[in-house]
Amino acid sequence: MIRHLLELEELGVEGIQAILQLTDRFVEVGERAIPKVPALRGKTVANMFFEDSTRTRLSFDVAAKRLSADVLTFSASSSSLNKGESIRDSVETLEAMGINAIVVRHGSSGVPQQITRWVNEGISVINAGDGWHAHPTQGLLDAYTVCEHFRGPAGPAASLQGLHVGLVGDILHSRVARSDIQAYTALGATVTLIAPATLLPADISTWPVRVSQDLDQVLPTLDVLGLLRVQKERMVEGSIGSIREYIEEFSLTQRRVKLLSDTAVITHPGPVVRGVEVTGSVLDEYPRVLKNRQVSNGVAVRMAVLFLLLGSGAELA
Amino acid sequence: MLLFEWLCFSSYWDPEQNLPNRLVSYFFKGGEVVDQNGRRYENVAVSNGMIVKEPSDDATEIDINGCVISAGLVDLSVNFGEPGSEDVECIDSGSRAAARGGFTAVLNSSDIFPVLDSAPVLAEAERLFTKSVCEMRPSATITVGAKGLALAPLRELSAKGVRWFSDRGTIENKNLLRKAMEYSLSGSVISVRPQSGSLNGNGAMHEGKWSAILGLPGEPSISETSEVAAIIDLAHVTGARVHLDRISTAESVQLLREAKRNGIEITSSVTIQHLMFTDSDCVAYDPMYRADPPYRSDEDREALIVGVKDRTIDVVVSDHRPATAEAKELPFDQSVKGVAGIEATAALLMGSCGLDLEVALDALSWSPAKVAGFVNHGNLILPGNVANLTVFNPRISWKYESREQISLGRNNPYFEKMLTGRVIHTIYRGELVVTDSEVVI
Repeated sequence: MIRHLLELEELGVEGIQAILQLTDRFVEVGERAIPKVPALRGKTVANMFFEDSTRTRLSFDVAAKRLSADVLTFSASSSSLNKGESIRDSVETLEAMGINAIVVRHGSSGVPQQITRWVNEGISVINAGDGWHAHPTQGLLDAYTVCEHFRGPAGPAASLQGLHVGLVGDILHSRVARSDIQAYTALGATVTLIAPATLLPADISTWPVRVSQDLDQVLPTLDVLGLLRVQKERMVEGSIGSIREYIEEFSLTQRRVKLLSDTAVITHPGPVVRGVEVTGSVLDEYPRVLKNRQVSNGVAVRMAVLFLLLGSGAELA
Repeated sequence: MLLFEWLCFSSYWDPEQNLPNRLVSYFFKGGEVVDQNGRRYENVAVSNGMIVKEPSDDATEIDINGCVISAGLVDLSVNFGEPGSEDVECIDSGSRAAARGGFTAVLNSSDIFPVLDSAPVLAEAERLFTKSVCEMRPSATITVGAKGLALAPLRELSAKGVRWFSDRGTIENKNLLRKAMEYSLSGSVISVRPQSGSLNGNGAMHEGKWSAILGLPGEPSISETSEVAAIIDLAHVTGARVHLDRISTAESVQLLREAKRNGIEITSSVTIQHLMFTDSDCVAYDPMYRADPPYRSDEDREALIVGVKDRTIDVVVSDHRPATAEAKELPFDQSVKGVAGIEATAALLMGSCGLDLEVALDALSWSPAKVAGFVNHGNLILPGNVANLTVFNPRISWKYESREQISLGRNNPYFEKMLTGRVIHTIYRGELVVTDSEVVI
């Protein structure tokens, strides 16, 4: 029984499969007329977002509410952090109010792990994205969505065996990429990273991935094309020459999308910068863009995670 | 010129100048003497500040059976914060902590506030140093305000007794660094921490497989190695006494080894922490393991140990850098760097690193005393020499408890761990400053 969710490595294959199996149940709950269960009634979930976030914060919010938990939202911009309060003191303040879980988003890698050292037993810490390090629920929901598309409900032994996933874009600064790699490869998929060397970490010799700098060559072999956002400030730091040049080589354009096989799907964690990593019309016209399904499944995955960490074993109604 | 320098330095170096007037005598019996002449079982008599041949009649006998008695330890990198950062350490707490760690001499960082870049600040620093219970020497900056733009008054400060010049970091403008090497008076040491400002990647840790996994910006080895290469060349061209402060990579060790083989007079130091930790220790994002330079790979750590063993690296420093608990509770990439470990440095180097005692003592006493010109330290245990001594028990096991630490620093990964080997007595100018591992003055 795990207490925190900080990254996917620690879950192992079975842990990931268990969450995806549970996700099946919450996808079903989400389709009900009243998509709400009393599983976490009386529990309190605190959302601590030290960094801007829209979809992840709302997704955790909806997930907790659909489980009948109470939700406290702490956002750094309007909190006493602005008055000089430390993260530790903020955490301890919330703790004193009687909470059961803290959902943390922070711009610095490792903050959720640091918080686990400060909270009492009985409080679960859930990483909602830390620096460049990990975004475990995103990795889970991406794997779930791909699994659902190709194989149907996850069931007890979800597998992506035989699928080839390509992740394109800024891998170096991407927590989504790190968690996606862990989720996809744990379930048996092959992962290829496609990016210029400056947007890859310097030493990924221990990562279970292939690397390519030629998107055109990789595209026809892919079952899943995972697009990642590229931020304009990467130009300033010399990681790419220009956005125009990046688009030329790594953007999913109308020409490139034709290189994909007839069954390949496109994922994007959002937010999308149309015209950079993907031509806007591709997103609108390509028949197998899973972007919105990812968002829906995100709620179910987060319900599964909250239920697993906080549930008292009560049956889902 | 020579006469001028002799006049400048002679008063500062006068061994008689600050000896205590109190007549205290000790007779250390049953210990093993270790000095540059080797090891021998010999009793050591101390009287009126000096090592003497025979104990005086009133000498207090101290049994040091099972212990090693050596020259006092010398630390070339401490940050005692005063003036300016008294909340993290002051001279009283820092020097007592140093004494408890077996040190009889320390070189304080120029990184005080205001930085030590002028004669008035030097005068104030030296006034404060009188509170120290071990010998304290200042280091001054190479450039004004340590900003790397214009030379500080190196010659004036030299004339007032400063021997060690360091901006703490590197000096990006290599022409200015060359000028500093040429301009400084002979007898001065230009110390540079090799780290390229443009290649450092704003790293929070070592760039490698662990930074990739942990999603932290990495500082590549080349950020240091490129500077080491350039500084060795400058030392060669100028003939100045140059010291590379706190090296951390295998490549740096190799470059230094070659430089020494080619007869270039350059010295270097490594911190005790870099002989103990690697980048994999950052795995739990514990800011205790954030360091400057960052802890590097296993291969680097092993090369550093070899470098100390074969004496390519002259000096091991504590790099005692105290911080408040709060400063080490920030996110890893925002937390302050370093460790306050002067009280356990000797235990770690002489106990845990697997070094011969002679090598450890060379790196912690004999060499640093020579490199920085602490003439009354690091000498042979012989009658007539000033009695700056350390008594170390290599077998004793003890728990390094944070609440029993004298230093105000709250940052050490070894807190609450068991260590082997401990400093039992420290004798500074013939006086027992530490006895039974407690500071007694």
